[in-house]
Amino acid sequence: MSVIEFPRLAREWRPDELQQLVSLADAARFSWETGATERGEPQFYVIGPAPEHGCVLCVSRLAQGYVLEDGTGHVIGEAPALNRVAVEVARAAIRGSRSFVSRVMVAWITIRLTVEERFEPIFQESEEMLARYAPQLAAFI
Amino acid sequence: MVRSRKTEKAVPNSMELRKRAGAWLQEQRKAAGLSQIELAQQLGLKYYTFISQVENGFGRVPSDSMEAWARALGIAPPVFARELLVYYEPELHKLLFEVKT
Repeated sequence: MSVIEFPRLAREWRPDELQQLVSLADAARFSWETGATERGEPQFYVIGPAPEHGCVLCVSRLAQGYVLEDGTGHVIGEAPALNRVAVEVARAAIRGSRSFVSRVMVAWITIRLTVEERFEPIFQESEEMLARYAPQLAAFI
Repeated sequence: MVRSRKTEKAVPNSMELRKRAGAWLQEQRKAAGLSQIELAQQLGLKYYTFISQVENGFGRVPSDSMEAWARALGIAPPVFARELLVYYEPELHKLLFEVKT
């Protein structure tokens, strides 16, 4: 098997990427750390519970997208966008026999992304409607 | 290089030992003249990101692939496994190799 090698990109996580990853780890009450490959691609490690504090999920950003692995090197998802990774990972976790912690994490990520994707447009639409009709409603009061 | 931002303090023992194991593995890889990509190729991995995960001290070399890692790094598998046991299972290593019967 040949290893997939990508051209080099920015060495750091972008603030928006990091914010998303950190909020997911924080909300799941996992600690986290960042690191990088030898070539400088950023990695985000989700750290499991005591006493081992081992890596339960590792997100790496390569030039072509994101790669998600568990703590034993199994690739559990790969996608061009962070939210697509979560969906792919959820599928893999349901199909496979990954560790309990990974499965919980993945399920949580998927639920969160689903909620954000479904409800954010509704909230935005509501705000637009409010801005549009508020003056007319105010006239009735 | 690892840039850390912890949300909570990790137990230094397991993590510190894994980091030491990672540093040792990186040393061995460099001594063997391999890049992370080349090592991943020899191990049949799709990506080299796991090599980095292990070297940064967040992952462990799985027991079932220790022999492959050892051979790729040019180290005798028993020597390699025994060295990693020092970091991954220090109590077991002590029982097996240090405690006198």
